[in-house]
Amino acid sequence: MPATNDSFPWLAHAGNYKFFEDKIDFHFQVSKLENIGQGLYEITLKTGRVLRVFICECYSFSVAEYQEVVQHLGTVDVIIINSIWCGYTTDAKFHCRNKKIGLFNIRDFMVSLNIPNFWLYLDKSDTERYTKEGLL
Amino acid sequence: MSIELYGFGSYFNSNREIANDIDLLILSEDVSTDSINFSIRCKSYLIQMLQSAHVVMLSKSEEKELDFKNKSKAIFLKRISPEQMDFQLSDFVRQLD
Repeated sequence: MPATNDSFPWLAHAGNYKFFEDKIDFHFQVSKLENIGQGLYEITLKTGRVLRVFICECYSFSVAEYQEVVQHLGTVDVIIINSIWCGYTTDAKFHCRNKKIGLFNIRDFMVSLNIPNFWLYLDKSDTERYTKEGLL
Repeated sequence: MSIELYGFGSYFNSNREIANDIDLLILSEDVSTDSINFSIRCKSYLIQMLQSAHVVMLSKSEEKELDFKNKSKAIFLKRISPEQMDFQLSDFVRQLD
């Protein structure tokens, strides 16, 4: 299996998230980015809201792994799955949405920051898929 | 409530002598709080006992969505119950040695 780093906090092998940091630094809605360590960031939006964002490379992020994150880090607002090799389950996505937590890949997270209820953002294909599955 | 423990990867599917990691899947019945917390307890125990263990945790519905067992050629190893977790997992680890 092409897992990247199998143990919490499933950090990138390089140990940094430069791509993510560069993208966030230039985001129109972001005023400040602070690296807390262990994959955890605090992002201050121009509205003043501060988001605790956990970014990781977990092969198949599940509900249990969400719970593991909370047990280790406390409450987070966003979880980002960083690698194209990695993803999340539908159960994890909706488990997080119900708790007003965004579970995204980087691209979708960037778009989600443009709407107030960011945790609800879905791209077109996900919207179609989840609608078809009766989840929306 | 119990979990099913599966093995996958080179340790279970090819040559365990040269495998670097022991890849394990913990499969829970559902995503209820009790099931999830029991999965995490089992994972913590396994990682403490087996430093080379890499553990994936999924519920049955999540496994079905990913077709994980089929794609990873996972092999059923053991059913673990909360009442006998320590005994069953320590017995499993002993069998690996």
